Amino acid sequence: MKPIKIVACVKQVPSEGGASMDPEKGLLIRAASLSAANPLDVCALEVAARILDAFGGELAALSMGPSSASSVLTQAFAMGAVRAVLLCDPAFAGSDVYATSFTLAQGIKKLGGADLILCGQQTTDGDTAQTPFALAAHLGIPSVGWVKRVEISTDSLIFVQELSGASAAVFAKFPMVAAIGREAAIPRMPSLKAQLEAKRKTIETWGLEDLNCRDKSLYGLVASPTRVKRVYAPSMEKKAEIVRDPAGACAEIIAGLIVKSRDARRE
Amino acid sequence: MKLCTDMNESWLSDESRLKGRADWVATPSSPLEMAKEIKEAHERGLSVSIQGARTGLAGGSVPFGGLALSTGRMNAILGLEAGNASFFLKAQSGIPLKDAKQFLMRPCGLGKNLQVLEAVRENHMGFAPNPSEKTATLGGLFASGARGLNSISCGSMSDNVSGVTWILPDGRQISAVRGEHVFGADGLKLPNGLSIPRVNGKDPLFSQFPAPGMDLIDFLAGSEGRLGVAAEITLRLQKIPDITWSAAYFFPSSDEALAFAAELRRWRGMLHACEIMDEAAVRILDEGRLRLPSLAALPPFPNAAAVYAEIAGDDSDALEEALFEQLELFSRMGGREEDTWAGSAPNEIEKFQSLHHSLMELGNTLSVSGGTGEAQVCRISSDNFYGSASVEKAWKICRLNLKESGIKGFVHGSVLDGRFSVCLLPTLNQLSGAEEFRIILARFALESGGAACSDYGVGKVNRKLAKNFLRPEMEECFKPFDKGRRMSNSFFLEAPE
Ligand SMILES: Cc1cc2nc3c(=O)[nH]c(=O)nc-3n(C[C@H](O)[C@H](O)[C@H](O)COP(=O)(O)OP(=O)(O)OC[C@H]3O[C@@H](n4cnc5c(N)ncnc54)[C@H](O)[C@@H]3O)c2cc1C
Repeated sequence: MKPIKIVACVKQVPSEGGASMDPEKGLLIRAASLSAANPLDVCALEVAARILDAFGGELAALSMGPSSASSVLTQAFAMGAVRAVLLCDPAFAGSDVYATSFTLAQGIKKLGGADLILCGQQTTDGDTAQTPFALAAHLGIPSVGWVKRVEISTDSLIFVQELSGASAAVFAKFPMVAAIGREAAIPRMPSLKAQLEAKRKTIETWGLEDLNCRDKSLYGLVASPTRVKRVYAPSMEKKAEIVRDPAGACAEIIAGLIVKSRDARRE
Repeated sequence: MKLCTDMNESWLSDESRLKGRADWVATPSSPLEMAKEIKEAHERGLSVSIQGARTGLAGGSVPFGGLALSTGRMNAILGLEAGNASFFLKAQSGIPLKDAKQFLMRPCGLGKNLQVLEAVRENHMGFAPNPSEKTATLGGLFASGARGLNSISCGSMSDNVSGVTWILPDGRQISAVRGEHVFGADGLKLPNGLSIPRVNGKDPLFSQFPAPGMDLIDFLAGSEGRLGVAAEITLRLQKIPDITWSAAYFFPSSDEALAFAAELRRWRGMLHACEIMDEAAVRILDEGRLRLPSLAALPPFPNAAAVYAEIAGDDSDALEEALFEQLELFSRMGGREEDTWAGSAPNEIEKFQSLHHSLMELGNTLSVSGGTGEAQVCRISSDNFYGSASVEKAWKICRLNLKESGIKGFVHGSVLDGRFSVCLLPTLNQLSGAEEFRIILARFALESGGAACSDYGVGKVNRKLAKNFLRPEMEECFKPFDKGRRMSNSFFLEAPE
């Protein structure tokens, strides 16, 4: 394989305990200090690093978010990115999947395109699992999702995807988008030197004016067809039944309860 | 109080895996209710075992008859206080540490004292000690003299407690505010008539040796449910450093790891925590990646032994400078770049900090199950401060004795405070040898002016140590609390053999 150009999309998400819901407004409240790179995006970065180890080439990391999101790009530098771009503009605020993937597509075009675009399968905050495919659609290129294994040999790259109980091996044909799942790779722990050097690298920040397409109506909230009506915790009604049976028939009673609850769910 | 039934099975053990029995159980939800239960137990002559989250490794919360009193329902935040540019968080003693921390971080900030909470956040104040078991309760942490790896820079649990509402073994309540009740040359006399004599010199087995100048709070800390119960605790909040860096350095052997750790200790620059792990510890962690979710996100460990170092501060340039110095030290000692891991993002630091915690968890699991393939009754480990002994010497003694004992196990420890822990994984035949091992190491620690603490606390499983090393004068200090009759049979000398 010849050296390839990879773009990895990385999103800043609230880390555990770093966000909560405003019960009145139904909006997500983030604590900036408690944010992290989306875990599956870090798996995508690891896959990128392994592919580059095998074939050579270069990795650029791309993120859309507030200025604080630059920290996830520093992490991308530590994992081998040579270039990092943050798409940051008030015009991008309030983007849903459609508008986000459109913005990312513009960023990739401005970067000069890529052979392979890697994304995490989904994020821990939005959780739609749609961005990689919408991105591929905006770019007009194929995509492969739910990648659970990446097989790298000297002359081929195969993405093995999960298909609800079955697997499919997809031979990479560039350009393409791949959405990486958790099982695909355990991310490396960057070395101290790599982390320190990453801190000193410059992250490019691009706003609307830096992109080729500057039509404001195509970005952010105005371009987002999704409307969130209400965010609420589903009410869960759990009824505990305590089984006490001295004659030892507990197992039978519990088995009966399981069958009953299964049937109720089927109805 | 209610009769103890089969439903209370989990009340009879803690993370020491020691198994006890209780006649009665109680779950008060206020200091008043707690005092009532304790008074009743006192009048009926019942022993009382206090239970927090039962994460203790020393068996201190395991009852042996009498009343098991859980603080589980005493989990309310009572408020935030500000004064003299200091901030304090007051809570009931049964609240888990993670909930208390979460209260301070929660972005919604729906606290009673919203303004103080905002000031706390603005000033980056928080609870600084970092004992790794976050489900432990504030009362349990206080009562077992808990510490985190960062105790040299942030202090122990008790150093960060500024007030306690304490229920005495007879149900009376005292309020201890730091600075108000301090031991003098003759000991300490409290307004309610309670008089505690002083003890000359240092007691080797207790965190509390009532010397002149000692605060009542520090005397009560580490008392493991023997001197009464903490009902409410006021934590002193400290400025939390803006930036933390974690780095792990891996080495082909423990000896090389130790040489580096000792150098780091001498260098000290901004070091908040430093832990060394021998080959067996790293191997157990590496294997644990398949078992524990906290380790599953880690790649294979690059080398055999490890040193974990954490630095923290507010000046990013100074911190990075310090890290370059560390790296240079590492390279000078033959270290390779690929044998380092580092990170400064909160989720990265969490991964590093989970190493210590996971090691403790794995040690616990292995000691009762897979370690030797033979089931064992309870956890046996040796955990001592080695006083004036050099870390090199203390580490060597721990490792050498472990090797000579022929018992499987691993060694790790906090290099900054000269505290090493040996987790033993003996077969049933080796149990008495393991006890002997503990005594040998405790003796060395005490001779070096250190202390034998047995797993972050003093509890029942420590009774063999107690028989060897307890100073009778300490008994005199306990008498005023229980009038000669032990409040709790969690007092180790009375624990069953
Ligand atoms: C995986 C693991 C990691 C750990 N890591 C650390 C660590 O890093 N640092 C550390 O210090 N410890 C550590 N521990 C030990 C343990 O978490 C601590 O001892 C903790 O302080 C116990 O708190 P608890 O609420 O679980 O108390 P329990 O285990 O329920 O009780 C501990 C002792 O305190 C007494 N007690 C409990 N509540 C009160 C109260 N309100 N008033 C008076 N006495 C009371 C009990 O009688 C008992 O003697 C670890 C344990 C585990 C299992």
